[in-house]
Amino acid sequence: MKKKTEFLQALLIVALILGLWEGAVRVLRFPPYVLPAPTRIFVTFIQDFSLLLYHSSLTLLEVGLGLGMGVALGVAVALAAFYVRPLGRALTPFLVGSQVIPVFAVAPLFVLWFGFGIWPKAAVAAMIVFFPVAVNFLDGLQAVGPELVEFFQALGTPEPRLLRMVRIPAALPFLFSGLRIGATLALVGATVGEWVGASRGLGYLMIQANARLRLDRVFAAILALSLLGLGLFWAVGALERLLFRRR
Amino acid sequence: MREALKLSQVHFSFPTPTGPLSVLAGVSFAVREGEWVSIVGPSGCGKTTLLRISAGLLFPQHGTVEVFGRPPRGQVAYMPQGETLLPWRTALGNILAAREADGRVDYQTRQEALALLAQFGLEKFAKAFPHELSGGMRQRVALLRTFFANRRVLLLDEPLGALDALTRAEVQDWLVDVWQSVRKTVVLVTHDVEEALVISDRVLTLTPRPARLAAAFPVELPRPRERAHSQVQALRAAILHALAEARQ
Repeated sequence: MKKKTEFLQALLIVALILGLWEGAVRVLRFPPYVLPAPTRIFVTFIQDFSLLLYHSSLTLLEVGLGLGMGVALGVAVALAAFYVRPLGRALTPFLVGSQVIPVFAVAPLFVLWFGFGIWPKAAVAAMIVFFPVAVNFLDGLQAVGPELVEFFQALGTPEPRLLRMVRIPAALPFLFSGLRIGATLALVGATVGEWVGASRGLGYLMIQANARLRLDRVFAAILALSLLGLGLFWAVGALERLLFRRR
Repeated sequence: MREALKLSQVHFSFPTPTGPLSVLAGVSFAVREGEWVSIVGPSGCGKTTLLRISAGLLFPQHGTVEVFGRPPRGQVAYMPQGETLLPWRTALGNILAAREADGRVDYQTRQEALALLAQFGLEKFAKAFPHELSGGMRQRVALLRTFFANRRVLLLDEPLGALDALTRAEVQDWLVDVWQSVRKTVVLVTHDVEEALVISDRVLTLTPRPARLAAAFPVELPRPRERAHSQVQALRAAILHALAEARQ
C-alpha cells in the first residue's frame, strides 16, 4: 500500500516536470534544435525505435562484456588479496584510492590502445565494474565471522571447500552491492567510450545527432540509455533475488 | 576406558602491546571416551581459548593437546559461541553441512539426517531457514549438526548462553536426551553451574585468568536429573563455593 502511493507520487512528479517542460517549450517557442518538447522526443523515440534498438544492442554488448571481465577480475583480485595477506595490505590503498580516478578520462587512451571496436568500451566498462566488485567482495570475505568458519576448520575441512561452502556464499551479497553500483556506471562508461571514437552504439548515435542539431534524437538516445540503465539495475536485483530467494 | 581428550600442562598467552597476556597457566585434564565433562569458570577466564586449543584452532606455547593420542585438528566437532548456522541453508542443509565438510553427501546420509531431526522433534523445521526459527530452535539445530558430524569428540562453547532461563532448561533436558542416544565424548564450556550439573558426568572449575584447574566434581546421579534434587543443589553450592575461593 505504502509502496503504491510512493510510486504514484513519483509518477506525479515526473508528469509535473514533463508538463512544465512541454508548456515552456510551447509558450516560449523554443526551436527544437535548442530544446525539443517531450512529446516530440517521444515521437522521435517511436520513429527511431529500430535505429535505437540496433545501437542499444551494441552498447549493451559492450557493457555485458565489460561486466563479465570486470566481475571476473574483481573476484580474482579480491580472492588473491584475501589469501595472500601482504598482497592484500599492499593492494587495499590502491583499491580504495582508485575510486577517485576519473575513469572517463582514461577512455581516450583505451581507444588509442584497443582501437575503435567494441573492446575499448568493454575495457572502460570492465574497469568501472572492477573496483566496486573487488573492494566489496574483499570486504565481504573479511567480514565472514569466525563463528561460521571455525566449526568447519575444526572438522579439518580443506580451505577450497570452506571457500565454496561458507566464504563465497557469505560474501556474495557484498559482491552484489558492488555490482549494482558498477553495472549502471559501466553503461555510462561504455557510452563515453563511444563518444571518443566509435562507428556504432548509443554514444556514437548521440554524437552524430548532436552534430546535426537533432536534439530530439539525442534525447531519445538518452531515454534509451536510461531504460537500459534501469533494465541493468533491475537485472542485477533479479539475479540477486533469485540467488538469495530464501534467505 | 580410553582417554579421548588429554591436555597436559597447557600454557597459552596472547600477545598485547604491553607484553604477553597469560590466559592459561598449566591446564591439565583428561576426558574419558563417552564421558561428558563440563568446564565452569568466571567469564573471561579463558574457557573459549581452552576449547579452541582443544579443537586445534590455536596452539599452546607450552604443553600438549591430544585427541586419541593425535593432534586435535580435524578430529573434533567444535561448536563456537554465537549464531553458528549458515543463514542461507535450511535446518536440514545446515545439518548435512557437517558431513559435506568431509566430502560429498549421498542419499543415505540425507535420510540419516532427516531421521535424526525427526527423532529429536525437529522434523517440522527441516525446511526452515535459521531466521525463521526461534533462538532455542536454532541452537537445537546447531547442536544436532555438531552431533551429526562424523567425530567422536564434541566441544561445545556456551551453546545455550543466549537463551532465556525457561528455554534454556528445556534445551538442556533435550540435550541430555540426544546425548543418551548418540553417545559421544563431550566437553561443554558454560558459566551456568546448574546446567553443568544437570548434564555432566564431571564438572571442572577454573580459576580466574590466568586459568588453572581449581577443582573437579564427579556427578554420580542418574539422568534425567531434577534441578531441585538435594544432591544437585548440594553440589551446586560446593561448586559455587570453590569458584568463590579460587577468586581469592
